Amino acid sequence: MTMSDSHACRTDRVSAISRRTFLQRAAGGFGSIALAGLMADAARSESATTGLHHAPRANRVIWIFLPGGLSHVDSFDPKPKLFENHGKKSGKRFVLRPMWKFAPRGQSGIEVSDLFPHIGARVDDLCVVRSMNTSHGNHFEATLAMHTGSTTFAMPSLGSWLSYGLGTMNRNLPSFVVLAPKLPYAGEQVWDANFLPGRHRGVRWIPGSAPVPNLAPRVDARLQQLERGLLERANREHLETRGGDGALEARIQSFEMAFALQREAPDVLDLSRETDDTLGLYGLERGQNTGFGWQCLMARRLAERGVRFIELIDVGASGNWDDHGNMARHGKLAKNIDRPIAGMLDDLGRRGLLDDTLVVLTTEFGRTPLAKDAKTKGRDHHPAAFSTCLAGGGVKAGHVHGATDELGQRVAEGRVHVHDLHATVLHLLGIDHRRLTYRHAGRDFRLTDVHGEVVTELLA
Amino acid sequence: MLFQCSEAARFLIGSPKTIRKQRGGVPVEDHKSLREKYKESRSEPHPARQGRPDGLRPPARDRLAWIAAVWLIAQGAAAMAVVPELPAEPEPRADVADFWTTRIEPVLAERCLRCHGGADRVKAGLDLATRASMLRGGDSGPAIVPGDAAASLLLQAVSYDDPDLAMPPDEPLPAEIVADFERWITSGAPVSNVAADRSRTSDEAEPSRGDPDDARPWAFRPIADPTPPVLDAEGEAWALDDLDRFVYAAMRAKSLRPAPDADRRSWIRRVTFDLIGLPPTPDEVGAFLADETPDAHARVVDRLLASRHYGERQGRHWLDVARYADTAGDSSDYPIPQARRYRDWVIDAMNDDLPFAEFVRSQIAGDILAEREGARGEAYADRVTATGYLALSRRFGVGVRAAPHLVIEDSIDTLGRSMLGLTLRCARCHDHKFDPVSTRDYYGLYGIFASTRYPFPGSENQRYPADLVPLVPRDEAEPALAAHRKSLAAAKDRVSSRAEQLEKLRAERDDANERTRASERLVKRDTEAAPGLPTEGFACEMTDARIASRRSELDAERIELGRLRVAFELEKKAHEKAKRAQAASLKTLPDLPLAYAVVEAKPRDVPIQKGGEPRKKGEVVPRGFPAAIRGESPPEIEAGSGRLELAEWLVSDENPLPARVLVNRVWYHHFGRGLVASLDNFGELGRPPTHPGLLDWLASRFRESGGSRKALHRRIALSRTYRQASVPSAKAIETDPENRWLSHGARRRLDAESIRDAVLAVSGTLDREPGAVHPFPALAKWNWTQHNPFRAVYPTRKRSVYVMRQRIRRHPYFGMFDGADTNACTAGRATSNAPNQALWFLNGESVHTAAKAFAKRLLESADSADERVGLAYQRAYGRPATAEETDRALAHILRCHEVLATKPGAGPARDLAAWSSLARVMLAANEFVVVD
Repeated sequence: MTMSDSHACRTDRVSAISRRTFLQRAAGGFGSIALAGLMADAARSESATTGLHHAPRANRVIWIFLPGGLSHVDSFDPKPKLFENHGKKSGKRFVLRPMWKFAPRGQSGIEVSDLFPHIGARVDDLCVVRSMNTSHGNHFEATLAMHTGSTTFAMPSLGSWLSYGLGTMNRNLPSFVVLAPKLPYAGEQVWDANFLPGRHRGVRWIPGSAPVPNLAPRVDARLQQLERGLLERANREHLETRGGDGALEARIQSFEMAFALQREAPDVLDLSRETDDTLGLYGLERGQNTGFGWQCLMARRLAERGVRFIELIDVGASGNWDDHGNMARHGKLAKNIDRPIAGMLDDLGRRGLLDDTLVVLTTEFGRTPLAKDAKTKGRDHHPAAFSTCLAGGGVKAGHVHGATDELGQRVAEGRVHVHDLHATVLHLLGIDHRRLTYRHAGRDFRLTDVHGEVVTELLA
Repeated sequence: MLFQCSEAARFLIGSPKTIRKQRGGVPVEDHKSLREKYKESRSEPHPARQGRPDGLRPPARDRLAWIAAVWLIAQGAAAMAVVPELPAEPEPRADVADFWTTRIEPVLAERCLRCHGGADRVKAGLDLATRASMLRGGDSGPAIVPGDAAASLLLQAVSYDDPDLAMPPDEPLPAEIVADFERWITSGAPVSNVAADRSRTSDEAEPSRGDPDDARPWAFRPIADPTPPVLDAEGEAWALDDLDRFVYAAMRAKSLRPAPDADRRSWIRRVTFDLIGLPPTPDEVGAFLADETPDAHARVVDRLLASRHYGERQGRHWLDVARYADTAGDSSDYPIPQARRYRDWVIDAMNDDLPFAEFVRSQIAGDILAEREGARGEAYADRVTATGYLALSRRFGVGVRAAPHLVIEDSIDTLGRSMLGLTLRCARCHDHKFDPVSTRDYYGLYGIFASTRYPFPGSENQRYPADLVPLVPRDEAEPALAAHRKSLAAAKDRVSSRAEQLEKLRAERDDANERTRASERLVKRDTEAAPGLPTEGFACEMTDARIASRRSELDAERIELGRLRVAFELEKKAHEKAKRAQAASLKTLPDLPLAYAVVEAKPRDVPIQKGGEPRKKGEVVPRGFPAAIRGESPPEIEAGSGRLELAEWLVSDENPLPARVLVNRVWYHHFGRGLVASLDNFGELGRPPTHPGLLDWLASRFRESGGSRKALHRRIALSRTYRQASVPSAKAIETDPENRWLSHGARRRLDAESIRDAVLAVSGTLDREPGAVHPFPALAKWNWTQHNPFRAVYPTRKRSVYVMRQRIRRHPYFGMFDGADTNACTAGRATSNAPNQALWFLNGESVHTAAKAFAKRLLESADSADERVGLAYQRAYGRPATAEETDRALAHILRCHEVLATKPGAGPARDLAAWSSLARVMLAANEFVVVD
């Protein structure tokens, strides 16, 4: 490399410049919130609150998504009229009695059906929103909307926005992890960062023996140690002969983080030190590494370790809650998730994590209270009304928000659109949804586009 | 109307130079960059915030920020490039303008304009976007009283004295900035006079060109052909091409000097990756080093431009902006087996150096041109195939041709960003807030595409494609099309004649059934003799005879009924079979080559869709082109969709945008940064050009060459500017960290395609043959739904441009390494450094396979370990290993052997494992994926 004296420089100078350029970009482009997040990220400390739009009530989110459309009138939204008028014609459709009975539960006496006995038993932890609605009646579009706010074009996911806005609290783990055995509708678009920087993309861990792609070394650990040493040496020398360079250093760091992940992830995945009592909460057998119980326990472990956004998806784009033919399948699917979710709430509570962890249980839309004919035992897509449960950091516990009409068809009061839910989640994390923006393709984008109102009635 | 929202934007791109002429005014003590000062002041606790628990001490915060910076420095580089920045470092001579542009304006931009930034962002009626609007003030009165800081509400607000007025609401400004505001108001609140020359920006280093009275934004003005600057003696000696004169002059205006030339190894590696996307072979490097003739560089460039791999590399760049994918993007993501024809057409167009105008014409209106020209054979097929650019617009939902307004939006968005550098899409719902594009303009274009028939790729509700376009002229296609129509019709006829027959049999069967039942009743009645009738004798015999006769009739009827029943069941089966055959016939295609392409539909003008809602119809807009760039004599759309006229308008000399956008993009691919940094946005919210003269000069040369990309690549690749070492001077580090003034080469990480292709190339496993057909399932088996969408990854060792990529499911590798978004125009690639990428290099199966092949090649090619190490470095990095590197590599091999000796395995296997280990390290190293 030929270079004159004037071009020679010391590493630290370049680094200083790179840093400044970086901070300028960060600060100039999207406000101080992302910057604050990045600094918190670096600090791995309590400074996460620095520079947020307001004090956060939660520091992380566990987002449970049930693909296909959970029936609200069979789960969290009791409608006695549906029982009373079973089989009667209403308009062109027929009233269909829910398959599960409702009963008041807990101190709060909130009614939850027998579909979710365990979750129902923890209803005093829940803030049940019975007045959700969304803008599209197809799975693909509504699933995309619930995750990105957009029913059509690919956009960054809620988890990506949060990762971008807040950064991670543990540099050894991704800030957005998706635990999903199968791909949902809209595939990876559901957790894609789209135009946000790539590191905010959700990383999917697949339940099973090797959840993290490319995590397990293919060679003897001693060999990999040798390779690591040689690689670091080569990269260091390469960096020095080039007088330092922030981008080169960033890549070196990405390898350090990969090794850290290799070190840390097996620890996250290792459930051997969980007590029988804890495993029991989730309905897990010792040694089990699949199933929704495993996903829930893993969510708690990731939450403990500072992952910002953890999404749990129980089933894929088929064999899911889309019970057009017979609602009975809801029973099987509910059984799969009921105890693990209740156990997770219990476990988070015992460990004091529920105070600053927001748990959300949602789906893409509800199901029609009325069936298409007198014989059908199934329900169709119903974007006009559905239920969502929240728990933990910053939301009212043992509380019901909003209501549908007497048949559960339309929102009667306290309407919460998907955009409003997103705005509220960001709010709970200390972010003003109108001010978390990213300049892309000629305009400032945000999660809620031009919509969204924080639902203050939910806030504790 | 069109510019109502652009005040803020204009305000942000102030022009220090114009103001610098108004000397005097505010004294500025030091010349430290605002950004430094701003950051420094921010990192100190503000008086108002001291004692807060969350205030980190400055050094700690600084260090943390640094860690954050390193950790994330490279993420989203391209996306960040379009983020409006604080202005450049101040000039050594600080004066009024600098004070405004460096101290006040950026603070307003960052902290105030979000709520008080004009248009719909005027909280409390206050607009801080212009000086005039500040003087006008908001609900509480004027924001500033020039010369009287104490009377200025703005100062009171930022001082945080009055809690009701305290602004910004989230966090007070640092004390030093507040002092700046005070000083600025006291000195009369001077600002840049941006209106006088809106093209001039803080970036600009050259004299303005074109008509100074032209009030249009810079990008809309005609392309000028400026004379290259005359340089000083040093510059004359440095420049190899007129291009270098522009760069040198701009650099010197910023007191920067060019970097020395890169060494030859770095240059050939750089140019080889840039032009063909592969590393140079050791032989190619050797030949270049040995070539001492003056045109050695030119020989390399010409060789690369002639390489078939050139088209694969440059074609991929175009496929990025054309949001190319092998699937449609609907809810089930139906595959498009014909899409690859468009991909190959793009690659061929690059290799053939198809003139730019033809390149554009074919993609917009190839089908019309093919007809008009009476093209035959390949010429016809090429024209038709090229319209895949439009045909590949995204699809949505589960229905048949669902959401056409969104499909057309994608066409318009892609057209705008790939060819015009404009975000036309904004105008779907409202007049563009910053650029002169109205909703009328949008629906004028919309009409053109609404008058175009797009192919249907298949979707959940109709699981086979329709309206694919024959690759042969109509007369040639007709026999096959007719045969296909005939076979469809025959299948349909068979179903209806079977149905007829079935109905006939059903009626006969029912009749027979009726008859039989009647006879049964009669027999029954006769048999159960009524009381009083004789039971013996003649009468009795008579009765018996009648009964016997009735019985035999009944038997015959029963037999007939049985026959009819069987016949009906048989016919029913035959009918079912015919129906299945008809369904299967729908899943067949005419027996001739087909393209996923567009053709003309019935021309129609469309109404404006108010707020972007198709149901809310407004005024009907004639088909046409955006008014601001319509030019003096826009082509008239008379008959047809207007695509041909659109194509002519795009390539017309009167339309300055496409050539500028293209030249800028080619520049970006050589320097990692465009002369206009916002590659797909030349509008108000984009970044102004750093070298407007050079941009226009290059665009002029590009037009002069007949739109030859190869000539453009050649000029850039052989320039002195491109030859510079990627080593910034101390001054450049200090004043131009982004290298806007091009005083050194650009060090870049390879993109996803080049990393993969290079790994395959150095390991000797790259299949260099052009891509063939993807192994999609046969059409007859297409049954994807939203519940079971199409998902596939087809492994191949071909170049990355030939890898099948979907829309809904990102390809796992390209998703990980910042590959193009297949759903929308990708103007420039981001570069992230995520740990999952590192894990891929460490533990990925493909890397291990390639490293093993690399090692095997080394073991086969050389006998001594030293030689092998040397060869490995030559192949991977294009240079010999140093003595120290050789020693280190050999030591590594030895240590590997020690580890491996503890495990079972024969000597040769251990040797291969040890060398594979070295190969992996070499592939994972920064030197492999970074080009100097």
